[in-house]
Amino acid sequence: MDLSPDRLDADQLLQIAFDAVTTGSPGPPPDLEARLRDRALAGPKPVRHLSWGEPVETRPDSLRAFTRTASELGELLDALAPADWSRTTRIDGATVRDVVEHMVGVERYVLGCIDRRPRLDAPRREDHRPVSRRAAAGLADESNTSVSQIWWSEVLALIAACGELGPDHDVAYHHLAGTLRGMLVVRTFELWTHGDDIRQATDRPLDLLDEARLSMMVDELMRVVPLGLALSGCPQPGCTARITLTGPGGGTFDVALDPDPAPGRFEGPARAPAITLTAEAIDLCRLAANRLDPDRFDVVVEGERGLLGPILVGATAFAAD
Amino acid sequence: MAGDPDALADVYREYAPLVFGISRHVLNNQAMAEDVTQEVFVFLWQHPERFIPARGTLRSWLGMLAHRRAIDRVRAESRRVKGEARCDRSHSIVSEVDDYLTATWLSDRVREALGKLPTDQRDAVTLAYYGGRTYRQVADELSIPEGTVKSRVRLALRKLDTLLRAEFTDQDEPAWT
Repeated sequence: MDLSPDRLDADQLLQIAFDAVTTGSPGPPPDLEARLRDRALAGPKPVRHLSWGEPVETRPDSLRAFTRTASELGELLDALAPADWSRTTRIDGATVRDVVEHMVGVERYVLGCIDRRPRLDAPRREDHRPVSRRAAAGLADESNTSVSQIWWSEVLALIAACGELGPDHDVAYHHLAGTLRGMLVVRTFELWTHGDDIRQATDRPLDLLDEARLSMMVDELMRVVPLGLALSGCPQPGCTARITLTGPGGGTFDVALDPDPAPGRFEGPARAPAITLTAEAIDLCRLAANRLDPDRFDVVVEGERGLLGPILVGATAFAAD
Repeated sequence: MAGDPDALADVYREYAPLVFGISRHVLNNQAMAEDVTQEVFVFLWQHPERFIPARGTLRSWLGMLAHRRAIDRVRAESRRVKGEARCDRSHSIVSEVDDYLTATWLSDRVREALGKLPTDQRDAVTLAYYGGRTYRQVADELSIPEGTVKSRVRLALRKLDTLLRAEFTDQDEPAWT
């Protein structure tokens, strides 16, 4: 029997720590319960105004967004029935199990990028799936529950590493060089997308995300569209697009269709836009993640319609699977 | 649980010794430990949705809250004694990122400390906490008397208390915040 402490999960280790420091220690004074009750009742009462829905929080940092999205995905995995794991997703016939193994591999690849795991060479966008398979090799004999737990352990390791290194730490993620702050926006995008892959495969409603995270993702997407156009070989020098996104996460953006200069929210056009697009923010995010066919993208176009194609190509330039 | 005083009382009676014990351990001050204990339970009462059962037990979550809040109080007192200005960064008692950072950091320290225990004590603790085994079951698996298991676990916890003392009372803040 394996008696290594490595088999203990974080919760069990914490229980050990708490027992170690509290065994034999005196309990709270008898009157503390009554004081607690008075204090709780005197304070603001927790009230849920359901008609307002979830309160709109201030823009989260990308570590917080990634953590929350990972947590939600973890809850989804915990809720899967055994039969759900073998259901086919929309990703080239991959099963739910395949997707979760893929995520294990991606977390390990990312940890390798910041030297918390062995580094894996994957400099191109096309390397995304192969490198995740390499990183997740050896999981075939693990149970579904075990794979889910392994993924979660890797997520915690990544969160801890990012906490130590800070948002401005340089990192290269395949063909993209930037900071941990930006990389975690990409990872939030990916976890949300794969979560919806699993939801769709198991007949669950898709995740509409919250305003705060959608805004974060939209802002980042608008920022990198010019780079996407350049990476895709179709920059449009001298052209600007005005992109109006509706719904949660929406806003109006003037986006230069070449990598120079940086876009910004609408404050008056520096160059008159050659094309104006109006669409739902979440639809654009799904399109950027390769989960919405451009032919089914519900967008209102005014101006030079010929620019729509390059813009959509640019928006999807960062999707890896 | 939100807004239900009876539910609060039930949770308090079950977990107050843990929360108070951790607070007292870190703060070494009865009054502050009582205050932190109340803060932890009031927070749970007002924000029960912050506890995610799929991620761990309520016991561990409350213990982590108590630890974090006690550490924050130590730092606040240190600043007060030194006459330093209060940090004007708003601070909530818990944030999701801090939860995971603290849990990961602490659990890693425990794993390291377990590695420093004598083999027989480490095996007894590992089995006792893995899979919710009783001392009777651990004794059967190790082919030793139940009393020996209890003794080894007790010794192990005492040693772990010493090994973890420094980390438990002086944790660095996560670099992200």
